[in-house]
Amino acid sequence: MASILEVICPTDVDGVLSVLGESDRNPRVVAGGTDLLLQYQHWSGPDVTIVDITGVRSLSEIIEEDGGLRIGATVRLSDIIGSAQVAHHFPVLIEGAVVVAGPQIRNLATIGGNVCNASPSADTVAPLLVLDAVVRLLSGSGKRSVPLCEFFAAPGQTVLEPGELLESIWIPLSSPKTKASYTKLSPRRAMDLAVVGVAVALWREDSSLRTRIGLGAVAPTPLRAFSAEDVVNGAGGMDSVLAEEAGQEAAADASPISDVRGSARYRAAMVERLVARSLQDLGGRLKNGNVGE
Amino acid sequence: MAAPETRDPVVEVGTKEPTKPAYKYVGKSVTRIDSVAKVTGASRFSTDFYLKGMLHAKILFSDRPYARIIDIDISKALALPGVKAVITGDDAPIRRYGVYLKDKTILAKGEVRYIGDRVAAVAAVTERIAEQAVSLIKVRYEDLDPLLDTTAALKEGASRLHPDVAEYEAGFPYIRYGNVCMEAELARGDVATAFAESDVVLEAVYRTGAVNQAPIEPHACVAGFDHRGRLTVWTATQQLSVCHAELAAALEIPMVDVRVIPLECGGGFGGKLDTNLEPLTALLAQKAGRAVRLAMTREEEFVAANNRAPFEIKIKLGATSDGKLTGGEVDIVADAGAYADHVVGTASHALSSSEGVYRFPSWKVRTRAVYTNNPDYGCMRGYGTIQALFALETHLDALARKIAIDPAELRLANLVEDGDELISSAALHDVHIRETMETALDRSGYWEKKGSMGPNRGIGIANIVKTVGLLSSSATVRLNEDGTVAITTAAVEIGCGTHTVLSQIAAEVLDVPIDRVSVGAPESDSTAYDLGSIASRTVFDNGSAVRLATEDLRAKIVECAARELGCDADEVMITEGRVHDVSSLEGGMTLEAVAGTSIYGAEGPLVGFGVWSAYRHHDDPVGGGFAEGIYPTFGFGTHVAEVEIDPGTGQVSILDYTACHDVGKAINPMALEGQIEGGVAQGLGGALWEEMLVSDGRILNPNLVDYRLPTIMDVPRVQISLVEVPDALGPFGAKGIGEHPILGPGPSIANAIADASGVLVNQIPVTPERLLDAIDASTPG
Amino acid sequence: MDIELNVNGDMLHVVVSPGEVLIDTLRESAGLTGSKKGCATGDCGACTVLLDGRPVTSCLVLSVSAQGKGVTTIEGLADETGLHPVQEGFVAMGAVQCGYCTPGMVMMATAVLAEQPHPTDAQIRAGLAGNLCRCTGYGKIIAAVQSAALMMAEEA
Repeated sequence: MASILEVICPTDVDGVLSVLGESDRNPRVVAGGTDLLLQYQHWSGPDVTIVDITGVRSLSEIIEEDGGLRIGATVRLSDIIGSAQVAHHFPVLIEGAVVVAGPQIRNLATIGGNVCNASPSADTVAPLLVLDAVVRLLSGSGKRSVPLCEFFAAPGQTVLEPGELLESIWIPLSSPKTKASYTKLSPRRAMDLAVVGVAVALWREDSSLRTRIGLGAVAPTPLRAFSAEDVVNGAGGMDSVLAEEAGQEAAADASPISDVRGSARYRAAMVERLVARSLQDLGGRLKNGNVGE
Repeated sequence: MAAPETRDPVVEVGTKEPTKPAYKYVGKSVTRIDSVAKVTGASRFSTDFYLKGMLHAKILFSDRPYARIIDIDISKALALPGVKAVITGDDAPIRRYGVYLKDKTILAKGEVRYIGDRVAAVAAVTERIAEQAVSLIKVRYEDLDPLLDTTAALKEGASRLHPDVAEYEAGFPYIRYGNVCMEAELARGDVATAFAESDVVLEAVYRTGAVNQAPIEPHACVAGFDHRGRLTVWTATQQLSVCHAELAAALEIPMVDVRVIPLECGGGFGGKLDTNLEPLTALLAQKAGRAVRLAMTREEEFVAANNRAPFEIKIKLGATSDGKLTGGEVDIVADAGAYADHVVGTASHALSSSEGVYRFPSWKVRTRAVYTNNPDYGCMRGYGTIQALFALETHLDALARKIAIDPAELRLANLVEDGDELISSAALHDVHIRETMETALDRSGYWEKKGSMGPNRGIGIANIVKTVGLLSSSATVRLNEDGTVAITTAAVEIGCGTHTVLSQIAAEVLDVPIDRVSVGAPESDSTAYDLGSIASRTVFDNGSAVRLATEDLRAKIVECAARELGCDADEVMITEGRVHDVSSLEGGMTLEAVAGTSIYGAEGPLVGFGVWSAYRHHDDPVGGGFAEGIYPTFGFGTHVAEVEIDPGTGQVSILDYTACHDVGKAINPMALEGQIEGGVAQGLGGALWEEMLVSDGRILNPNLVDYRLPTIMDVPRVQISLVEVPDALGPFGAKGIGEHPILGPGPSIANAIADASGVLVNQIPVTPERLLDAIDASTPG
Repeated sequence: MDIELNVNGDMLHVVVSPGEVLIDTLRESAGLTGSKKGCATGDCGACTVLLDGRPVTSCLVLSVSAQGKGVTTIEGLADETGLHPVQEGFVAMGAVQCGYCTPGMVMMATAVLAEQPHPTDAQIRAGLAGNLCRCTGYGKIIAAVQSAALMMAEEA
């Protein structure tokens, strides 16, 4: 059994990057710790050095910049839920954050952690996918940006290089008329992991419909259902036929497995139904404008 | 203190002509005597107990369902610095132990029979070192072909997991053969003829899942020997006396050399009545020569504890077209897992409760508990009855649909009454099922709602019956020097409010304020036998023992005071802790003065003794060893559930839930409501969310994420009503309520779902996927 | 490692291993066994403490990372004047059965009321969603929090 050899709590980004550069210490970035600490308690790999980045103030800010909202890596899920800026621009992200585990976990867990953990079922990721989020990465040798839909490599794996830090998530401001929703299917109403998670954004460009569809828990990584989006993009209006066709395509985009939370068959069927339902619901909301919201 | 009336206004007490004596302490929602300690974190639970210098234990569990142990190499573990003892099956006594059937040893000898069987154990200076040492133990196994379900285990020629099953010592004799560790069959009348003469006969198979008791406190205990070799064990147990006896038997030492001290118990639900950890911990302490603490992780709580066994129940019922039940036949198969434990009891209990609350002119039932290489199942709240009633109550609805009669009408037309005899030969008395049913139907608005709830909504009923009380209890109640009163009994407080209720009973009998009564912490050195906090029995049995003991004390006080006051005993009464002449509240003596008179006089200390046995009330205990005749009384109830289903996803929302129970007398209504609300919540868990998923003998979801206990978001408000007609035997007429509420949700929810969807799911939990599959299967094309 | 923790207003010097989590330090080094360990994976809420006033599951917090923050446990809730209103509410309304979830439940409820002095039942449910109770079915817990809210409103 290996153990945590050391915990380092830097207070600035340079401090973080310099420890991350020391590969012989096997540094691991931890923010909220709600997933990672459990892994290291029964870790069979080599000893690790924990780099607790929650003391770095610049990583915990929510700031409007470059025509979008930059959410720092260590912004806690509870802070996202309470953020007026997020509520104003991206309420769908709050829909995702508020169904993660329970309040105590949301007081620890961070948006950066939820993304970097690369769990197929992460509830904030499908909403971020339909918001076209970009992750901003830093390392000793520079910085780069990666569209979120290209960030995940496999369950638990991202394209983060050794020594690299997820600094923030940047979300472009979208048309205020965009409607979006996140539906988490789980047996219990709290403390569950998604059996299927479906996020959909729908808006109009000129006179035709545009959509982004994000799926969770139905593939090795969270994913965009591009071929389902193609069904909708360019259509004149939403109706049940179009929604169901998109649902079927989304199910084809998914590649679910059977596990304790549900069978592959059930998951595929739920993707189909929930995508269709979301599209129809959002289509109705688009038509009605902001009435009642 | 008597709390202000904080009762929920939905509760309505009393529906029938009960004699209503004016009680002072009984019937009051007194706040619990242990709650301040619990809200401040001061209570010491089994997990909170540490001794200076003690060692920490970890167990090496088998990671395969069935295998022969070729050899075990403990050398590396022993060499690890900080390791003080390592034990294997060779260190365990040869004698087998077990509550119904003595079929297991403290550590596996020769073979492992399930994933979780104990192979070895380590004691070390820290838990982490013990964990490391366990990972260094190398076991060579020869895998054997596991029996992964009861069908495989019952097949002719199946390998025998316990070839000596017929020779094992049993608590009482019953049929055992092959992989069947208990079989029993009972019959009344001629079922075949009844079916032939019925207008409708319907048969189906029902399944109930493996459910984890999941108290929030995992198991933990500490064991140590003193310089004379006497063992003390601090633990959380529902059954102090049983733990004491079992522990001594498992270690083959006399009971006088064993002392068991129960600590605060963080929930039982049937999960803390197997003497599971204590013998192993004691064995380690013996080997290490130091006290040892063993604490289970949450995962180990699933893998290595005795959870509710899954049952498969085939049921066939007959009825006439006008809704008279004619007969039934039931075949019960319980998966006992690797060792018998309480599954012998739950399978027999399922047999005796198979008819529920109905009059069947003929009945035939067989039950079998079957060894497999699945987890080592045990029992949980509801003890066999929960499985039997799920099958019966859902099948009654299916039958009602078939003969096109309302399920409530079918039930009302066939209810048992006082004097009816059950298949177990128990004669019923104090039957109040008609009252609970009428009340629940009325309170839930069943008749108005039925059929008019709109699409995807439905309403379902379940009738409940469960034994109350079992075997014997004892208590002493003494008068302290200052006139306060001390109760001593082996009944442990596992969270139900038992000790508060016992103090109410004593206060009522003596007419002393409740804050002048204490209930001592039970421990084996100072409390006599009591079966424990199980079987919906503490208020009924232990309450009876305390009542008798207090009456005994009262008689002694009265006699002593009468002599001092110069009058006859029947001219003396006690009021508010003062003993006086019946004719006048003035004068007389304080209890303190009585105590002084007796202690310093010829009388000696005043101590009341109470011994209670449920057997006493039956001339002829029967039941072929299953002894159902010994149950002194039965509690009845009716639940009504309303649900809405999402036919697209299979998800179920509970719209409303009504529970009506026949409780005899609610001694502490607030605590009683808590039992009902909590029992309903647990029942809903098993009805909709909770199931241990087992594949190839391995539990796939041994954690609190994927094993889904209901959260506060999932449990609806429960509308409670009580039927209070005093029971002939219970203290102040009280029946028990511990298990009854958990029995309703499985069938009432399944019936409501069937009403909403037109589809009966014959398996609990009704997961969204199961419901959707059933809906899909019933849709033509 | 030698660290200093501010627990219930007292500065405690404790020796911890780098990977040690706060619940273990509180229970085993500080002797504060009021906070309970029900799962050690953040799924039951029994170990809930306040960290700088925010409720967290202390089984998922490194003790090292808790340095410089204020930790409040169940032992720090009642003061010399008596029980906290939430504790009184739990006693009066019969919200305690076995009591093992109670410390975490009480801590979480105080946080709910700090944010929502007049909560609806739905808000109480949402606030306590991360605390499992196996005994009560939650009905009396909701009543207890409501009763505490009333008491606190009267005191204010």
